Amino acid sequence: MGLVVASDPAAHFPAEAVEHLSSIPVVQLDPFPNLTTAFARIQIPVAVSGIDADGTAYRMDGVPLRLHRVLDRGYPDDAGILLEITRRITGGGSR
Amino acid sequence: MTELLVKNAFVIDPLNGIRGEVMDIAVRDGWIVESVRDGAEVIDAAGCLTLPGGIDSHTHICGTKVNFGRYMMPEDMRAGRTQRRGVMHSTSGYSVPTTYGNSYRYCAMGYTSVLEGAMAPLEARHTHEEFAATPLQDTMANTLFDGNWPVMEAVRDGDVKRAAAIVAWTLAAVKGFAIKLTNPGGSECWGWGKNVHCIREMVPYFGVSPAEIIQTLIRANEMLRLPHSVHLHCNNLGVPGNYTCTIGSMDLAPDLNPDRQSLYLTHVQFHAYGGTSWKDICSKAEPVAYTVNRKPQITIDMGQMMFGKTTTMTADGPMEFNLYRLHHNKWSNHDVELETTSGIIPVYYSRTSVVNCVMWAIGLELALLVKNPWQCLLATDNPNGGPFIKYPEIIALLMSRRYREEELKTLAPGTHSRITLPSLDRELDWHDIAVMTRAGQARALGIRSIGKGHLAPGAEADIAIYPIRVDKTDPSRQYREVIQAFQKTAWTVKRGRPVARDGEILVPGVNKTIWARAKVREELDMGRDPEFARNFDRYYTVRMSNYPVQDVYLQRSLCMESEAQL
Repeated sequence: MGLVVASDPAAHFPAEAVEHLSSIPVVQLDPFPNLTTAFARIQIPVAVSGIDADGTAYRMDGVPLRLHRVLDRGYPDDAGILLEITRRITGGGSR
Repeated sequence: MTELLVKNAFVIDPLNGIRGEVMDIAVRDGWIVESVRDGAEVIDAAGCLTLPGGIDSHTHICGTKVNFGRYMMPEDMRAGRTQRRGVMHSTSGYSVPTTYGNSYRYCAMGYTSVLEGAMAPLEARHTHEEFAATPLQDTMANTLFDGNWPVMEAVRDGDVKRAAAIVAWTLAAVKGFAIKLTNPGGSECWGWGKNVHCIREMVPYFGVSPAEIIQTLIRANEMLRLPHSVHLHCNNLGVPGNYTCTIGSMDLAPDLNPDRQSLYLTHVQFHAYGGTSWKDICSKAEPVAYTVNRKPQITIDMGQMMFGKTTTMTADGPMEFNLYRLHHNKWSNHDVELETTSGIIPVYYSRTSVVNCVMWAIGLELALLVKNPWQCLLATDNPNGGPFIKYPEIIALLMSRRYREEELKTLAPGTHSRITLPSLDRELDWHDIAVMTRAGQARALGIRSIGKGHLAPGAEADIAIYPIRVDKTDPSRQYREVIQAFQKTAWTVKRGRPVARDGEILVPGVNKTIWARAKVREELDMGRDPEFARNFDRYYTVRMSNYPVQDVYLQRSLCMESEAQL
């Protein structure tokens, strides 16, 4: 199974890798549909940092900027989803 | 309340004058106490060597340039992979591992506190995010002021108080620990494609010299009463003949603080070269070490180089460009607005290179020629001289003349006439090693007062138990056993909890970051200074109000406050 978080491998990976990805189950966490969404079994829409969630954005020159959320649309952030998946798989948490 | 009793420990605790005694150590709620009740958890140290948790006073493990090293070196990332196991995350990387890789490897070696050697203030959030993912060590960040425009303006104007006030505001804003000067003035010159080659050359536009920057910030540091001293990476790193510049820099330091040095010079191996070119490079560890011996106000770390692959990374941008011109491999270069620079290249230190062999010898010579181990601490400038996992080998080299002789036989022909190492008989003892790997660091960083680096009641319960019996080991002959013992503790205890046993990590852990805030008078608060704010908003690409690192970036935070005397 493939888990794709906040990226679009279908647009950027070599063709063979994309073909392989499209032949296995893929779950995608992303606020917006992209090329990977075309073959993902599930796309979970998540919060956009700086709109729905606090976070840190790394500028292209490496400078990290603090982001604050401005809307409350109820989307969970990536970490929240991943922790919840882990919790359900491990039945309550190894931590 | 959680209690722990470490029994039958063979303790060396230099800060408390304990040179090797079998004793019990009682721990309650993370702190060392006089005694605990029956029923406390017990660790039987079985007479093994027990030391305060190790402290690294100069390492590069977190932040923008370290992470750029990870991007640049996928081949390094493919080395040293470990799978997820128990509480441990998967790790990868050899010389620039993932943060968890660093944390687990340091923990297995008994290290419980580390200081990141260079944090650009503008990029501090990145360092703090990686600190948060370095769960088994307490962390501190040297904060770069080598090319800071407002500081250089204050230096030009001869205004020590203003320089101090800028440092105080910046450290508190970015949650930094100490003043770091990397090739002071050189990083600003690099913006003009130039460099300064020693302490009396001038920085363009600002019209200040490295010597003036160093001297002003030493005085500013003591006015602010910061825990650590100024932490200096000298000008002209890695250049044959640079030892005169190093000694000249040492001569700038007055003796201003009775509790510790007034100037810490880091990775001095890279700054103790004689000769005029790579063809006639030779060791000048002797004059450098003699200068240290004459000056109690100086502490250095070795910056030992160890043979093999590694990655060099520093805020010394022009130096990395010079290295690139030697190696013609990958290179990265980075400018940090009005603060500093950085550069990265991969290297391979080879026994077939006379230059590399001389470098190897110089680090060891420094440690053997500096009489007082409190003034010469053990480090490799990880990963610049070699990854920190080599520390056990360095310990063994310092403790065993025989081991050194074995190694000397493997060096490139022509090395011996350029070094003094073959003539040095000194073998360091266990106490010296305890000083050079924890007690000396606690004193030099000024963190003894918060319970670091010792084991008396009141200390934080960071304890390393090494699987070796001092009474049954002759390190001079049994250096292999010494290496093995320091590679993997029997137990590492952090904040009163056993966190590693025989190299296996036992708990997820939570990082604590130690930072410094000097309180200054209101009229010297740069947050209210109109000129500072005007220049900030004019020259930086971020607003002054967006610059400070929010508390949310620090998991546990320990602020060391001081009352500035400005």
